[in-house]
Amino acid sequence: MRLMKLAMATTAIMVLGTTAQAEISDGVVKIGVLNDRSGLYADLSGEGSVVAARMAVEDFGGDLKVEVLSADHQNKPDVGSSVARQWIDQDGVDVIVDVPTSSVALAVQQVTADTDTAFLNSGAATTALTNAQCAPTFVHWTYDTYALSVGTGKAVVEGGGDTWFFLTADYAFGHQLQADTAAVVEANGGTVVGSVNHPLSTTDFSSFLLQAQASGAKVIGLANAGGDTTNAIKQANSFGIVQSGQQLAALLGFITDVHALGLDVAQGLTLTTGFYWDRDDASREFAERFAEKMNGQKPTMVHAGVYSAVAHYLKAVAEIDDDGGKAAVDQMKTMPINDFFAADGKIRPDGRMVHDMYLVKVKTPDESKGPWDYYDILATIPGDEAFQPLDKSTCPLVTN
Amino acid sequence: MTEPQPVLSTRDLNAWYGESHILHGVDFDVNRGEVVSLLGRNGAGKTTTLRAIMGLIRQRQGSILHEGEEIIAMKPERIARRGIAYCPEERGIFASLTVEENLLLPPAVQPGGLELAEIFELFPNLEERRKGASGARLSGGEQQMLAIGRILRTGAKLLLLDEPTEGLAPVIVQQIGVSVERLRERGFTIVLVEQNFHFAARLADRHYVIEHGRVVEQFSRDDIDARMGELYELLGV
Amino acid sequence: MQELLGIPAPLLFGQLLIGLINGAFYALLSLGLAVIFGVLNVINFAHGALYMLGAFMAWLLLTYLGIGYWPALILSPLIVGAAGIVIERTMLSRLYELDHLYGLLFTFGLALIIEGTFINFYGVSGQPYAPPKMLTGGYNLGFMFLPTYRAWVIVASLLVCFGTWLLIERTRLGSYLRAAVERPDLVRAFGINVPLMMTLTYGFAVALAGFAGVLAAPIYTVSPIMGQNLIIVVFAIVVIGGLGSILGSIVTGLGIGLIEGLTRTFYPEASSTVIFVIMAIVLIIRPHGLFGRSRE
Repeated sequence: MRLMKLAMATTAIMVLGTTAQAEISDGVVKIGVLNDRSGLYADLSGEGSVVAARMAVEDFGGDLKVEVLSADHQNKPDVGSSVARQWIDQDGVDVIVDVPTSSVALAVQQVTADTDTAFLNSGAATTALTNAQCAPTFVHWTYDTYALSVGTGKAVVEGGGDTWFFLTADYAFGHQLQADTAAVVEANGGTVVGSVNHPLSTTDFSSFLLQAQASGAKVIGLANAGGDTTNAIKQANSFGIVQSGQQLAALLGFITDVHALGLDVAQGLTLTTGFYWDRDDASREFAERFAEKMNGQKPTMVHAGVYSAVAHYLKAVAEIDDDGGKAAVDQMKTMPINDFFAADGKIRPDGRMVHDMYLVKVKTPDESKGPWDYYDILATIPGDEAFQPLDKSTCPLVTN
Repeated sequence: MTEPQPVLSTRDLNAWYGESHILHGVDFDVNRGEVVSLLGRNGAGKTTTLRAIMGLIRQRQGSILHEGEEIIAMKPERIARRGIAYCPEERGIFASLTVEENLLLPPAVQPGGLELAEIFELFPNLEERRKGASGARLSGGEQQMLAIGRILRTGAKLLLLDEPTEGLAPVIVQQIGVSVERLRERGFTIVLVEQNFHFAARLADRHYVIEHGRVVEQFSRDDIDARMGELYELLGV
Repeated sequence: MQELLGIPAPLLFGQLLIGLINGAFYALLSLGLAVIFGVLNVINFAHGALYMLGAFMAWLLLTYLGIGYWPALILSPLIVGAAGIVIERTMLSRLYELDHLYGLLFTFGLALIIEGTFINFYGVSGQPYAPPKMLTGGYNLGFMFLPTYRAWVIVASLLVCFGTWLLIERTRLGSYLRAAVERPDLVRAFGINVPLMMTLTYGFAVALAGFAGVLAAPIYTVSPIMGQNLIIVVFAIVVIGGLGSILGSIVTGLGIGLIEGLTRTFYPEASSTVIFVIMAIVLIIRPHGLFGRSRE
């Protein structure tokens, strides 16, 4: 449906300070927020990520001239890489942020690595970005498939869910998430009895759910995201899957998904997330300001990650007066991250930003005090356990 | 003695199909109860004249008076509702409708239309074929009878018949001629467009000859024998 | 356990039933699209957006006015139908004289505007809409668990499809419509107000889409993009069935639902593509579609 949609939507220009810095290319730091602005991931990233990036720029308030651009990649790798190329070649963009949808992120990674442009990813999940396809200009900020599988996979198996059937979105992210989770399940003594790949943006999951039901697995792992996850959960509910004793594990769930499902349907789900707005005062303060600009919507972990990444990037660029991709990322790697998103976060040589993850459980309608009051935090997973150990990384920057 | 007001009269009727100017000022009158024929060679503008009267040609100018009222600017459905019925040259039988649906399609616009039984009396073949699954399965003659029959139900008193004999066997042509004669007896006013001059000559009270989008000559039933040579030349018979 | 085609028989029956349920949805939507194409000669790309509008109206009625599912099942299609009438009268009717492409581009742009407006206010994640109390729960059929709501969907869509078919094929009004598909000018010359009929037809056909939207609301999340993928599938069904063929669109809708269900069992990765493969094959063998008549 979106074939004729304009590839780009350039938004407001923000100018802070007046002094141009000699080492900053063309005197201005240009931040390009590239994500899904109209499809199934538009709520979990989309305009919210642009708002978060702008908030980070405002809050930074330093001596840099900064502009924020945004565009829709329509979840298509070719669209994403051509927008990235145009931004870098013609518009002088210095850093690309967000980029959900793993296949698009991998395509953009090639462009940014070739052109020495920083790439701070918040929205995509695949661990390939910090393994075989890693780059010195890249940071993976918020979460990845490994962290999701460690959090949810381990918790579910330990809770007795030791046979799994996967419903997997049929693209890079889904396959990676399934593979990572299967490894965690097996490492903890569980078994995988089957899986089915469904096309991206499927509306009707009942056929797939019947197959999952017929498998007899105790756990149905949803290796998908956004609207696919919510539709699958909603329909599983109506087909009596949970009532008949099978458990659903949403491997990637955002707070916007829970909002869309309603607590009646979503209650009791366990999820792994990199951020929950109601965790402490700092996160609440950010969430309040964000919600004011977003019709009351609270930030997802992707939005929070975009803010944190942009803020850290601007700090690093101001420090070294250089917005070259590798130079900026190298500087970022030397500085710890301490903000409402991460405590003592650090960026490893492979580009992985290591921070704590949270295992959460969705509240029942009675427990919730109102919209967006959705999670109980069950456990904090320390960063070093949550993410793939550096010595397992196949990233050439680490292995060489 | 005053002339009776014509049922239909056109003055300076012009019509265009897109860029091409087809009618260049057609003037003719039809009196109540008359059968009037429009004669002329292929492409002279006879069919266009009928379509312009029905409002089926968007670009038209001049004057068309029906029962003394100007109808040039009216939409086809309003013109039809005034009691003018049109039977097109290609007969316009709908393939996706059954024979009966075709027959019952045109709604009654005025009281006094023929009953189905009367129509079947005029065209006995139709009654036999009534249950046919599709109007398209009928023979050419049956289709023509259906096309005329269905507009008799509506109560319209002015019938515009476009080439009712085209491509039909002589025996059918004769049958249609008889029907037109009976319709005249029942008081219908009929405008007949014809290529078949001999058919028209027998039926019509008056004839207009159209050439290049204009009426060029007029003959009455009484002149026709005397002026046969002239007419043949005009029609190229 | 008995096996058919290499999979357990109960699972196969389940998949066929689910395919039929989805097919009923497809039939309801493709029917409207086929009627619009037949009578107005317009490829209505706004159909998916109007389906979404139907679902959203149900949600809005519930959220802001407290009006429940059953009244919404009537009200929402009426609102969508009224919107359709305004669209046809004020805009679409001006395009009939022009090339098909204009109607297609107009409805396509309209779909983007409607969807964009809703995305702006409500985002894409969607809104929850619960099925009415009396349709919750389900039946255990032995080979599968059939949610009551899905059973209702198949009954309601088939009834509406059959009713529409009766209306078009077996009534006086329907004969006007069918005649107007063939020769609109001649039908006007019989005194029938064809432009009015076209307006009402568009209103009715998009009301069908709105009805499908309300039916869909409790199954899928009510989201501004819920119609985006569907419209392409439904369009393919209309092409396979034969553009403008009423019966073709109903039968093909059900058939495609079944085939899609089977594909999801045997080769799930292809389930969103199989329809287009079938479309290509049908167009090669029968360019006018399975039930189509050649036009002009």
